[in-house]
Formats: sequence, C-alpha cells, structure tokens
Amino acid sequence: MSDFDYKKIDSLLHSRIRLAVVSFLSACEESDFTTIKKKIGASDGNLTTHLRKLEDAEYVLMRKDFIGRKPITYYKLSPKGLDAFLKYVENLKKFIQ
Amino acid sequence: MNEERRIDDLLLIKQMVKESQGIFNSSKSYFILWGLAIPIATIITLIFDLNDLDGFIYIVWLGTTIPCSITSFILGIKSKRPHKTTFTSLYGVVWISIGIANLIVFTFLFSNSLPLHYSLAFLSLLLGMGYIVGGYMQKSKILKIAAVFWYILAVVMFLVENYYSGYIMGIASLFLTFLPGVLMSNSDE
Repeated sequence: MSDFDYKKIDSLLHSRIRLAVVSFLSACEESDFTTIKKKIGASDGNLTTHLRKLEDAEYVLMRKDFIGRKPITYYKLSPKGLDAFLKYVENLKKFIQ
Repeated sequence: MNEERRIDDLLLIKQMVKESQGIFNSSKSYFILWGLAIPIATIITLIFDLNDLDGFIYIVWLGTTIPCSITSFILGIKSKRPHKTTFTSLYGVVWISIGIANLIVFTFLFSNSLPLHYSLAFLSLLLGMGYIVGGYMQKSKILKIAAVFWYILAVVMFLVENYYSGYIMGIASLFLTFLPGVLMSNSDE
C-alpha cells in the first residue's frame, strides 16, 4: 500500500502553473510579470488569475514600479510561500522514495 | 496523485529553477563607458607626455576614473532589472571589489611606490578576473576570450619593463572593453 497522503499536498501548489511560478520565483530575489510570463509560457489572463490566488494566500508579494513611464509589476516569493514550496518538494520526494 | 505526476512536478520545479537562475541582464553599458574613457585618457596622457606636461597626467586619470566610477555606481543603483537573482547582486559586488582594488593600485602608481608596468599588470589581472566571472555568468564567449587576453597582457607587463605600458593598456581597453561592450549590445538586439 502506498504511503501517499493527499492531505499533505498543498492544493495551491497542486496546480502546474502555480507550481511553475513558485518554483521560478524561488530561484530569484524578484521578477517582473513579463519575464515570468515568457518563461512559464502562460497567457496574460491565466497568469494574472494564478498570481492573484498566490497573492491572496500570501505566498507571493507584489510591488509596482516604473521604468521610465512604463509600469512594471514585480513579484517575489514570501517567507510563507517559500516554506510551503519547500514542504511541497519535500513531500514529493518522500512519496517517490 | 500518481507517481508519474510527482516525477513530472519535480522535473518542472527543476526546470523552472534552472530557467530563473539562467536569466542575466547584460552589463554592456559599463563596458562601453570604461572602454571609451580609458583610451581617451590614454590619448590625453600621450599629448601631455609629448608636451612635457608629465606632472599633470595624474589629474587626467583622476578626472577620468572618479567620474566613471561615480557614473558606474549610479548606473548600478538606478538600473531597474526585470529579474533579480542572488547571482546578479553578487556580480555587482565582484565589480565593486575590483573597482576598489583598481583604485588602490592607481593610488600607489601615482605615489610612485609601484612601477608603472607592475601597476598595469595588476590592473590587467584584476580585469581578467572580472571578465572571467562575467563571461561565465553572462554565458558570453566574448568576455571569456577578453579575459584570456587580459591575463596574457598581465604576464607580458610583469615580464617586460616598458615605458609604453600605459599606451598598450589604453589600446587594450579599446579592444578588450569597448569592443566587447559593443558586441554584447549588438547580440542583445
């Protein structure tokens, strides 16, 4: 019998696109919306929806800035998000072992 | 959640982490700035040298290095990078350290406690270090090749006591600093 416990899986990170975003942000200090979109390969609307969910859960922190007159939105992983991500990875590894 | 999905998730995480770490914003503007400033200062030095105005040469170099250092520092602070990693911050710190080391070598050069060719050999070594780090971080062959040339130049300057070392350094800056900056700029476009 498998020792898989679905309760241990973070439902927020269970989504592939949100997992991709959190993984991407875990390896940087911060990144802007366009860079994330380009690397994840998601559409504007789709990515916005998923980022909002991550923001609501306080996994991701957002700040707005300007480069010249162009607005730019930066995202970074919060300590809570990093903790959840590390737990998620740990659980995945455990289940595979 | 089946085994396959878990493996897929781990692979996705690995790929995304790699993608994120692999993004590096080019530092071409610094190369263009210094690659222009040093040869210009060298030409002015040559003019002063030919007109027996040796005593004013240090003013030319202070007048070049101090504004360029301040400009580089402001550029570094004000540049808003779309993607920031620990590596990019570390790269900035590497160049600040090299800048400070260069400044110390320069000070000893002008106080006449270090021979010209030795000072320039040290400068070449420091630049070689910065270029090799930059080359690997930016995955730039141009910078890696330029680093090798800085090292070769350092060896030559350590071995040969040459009155023209300063002029050689000026020409080297044009080919090993300005040119890589322009080439990086073109490849970015």
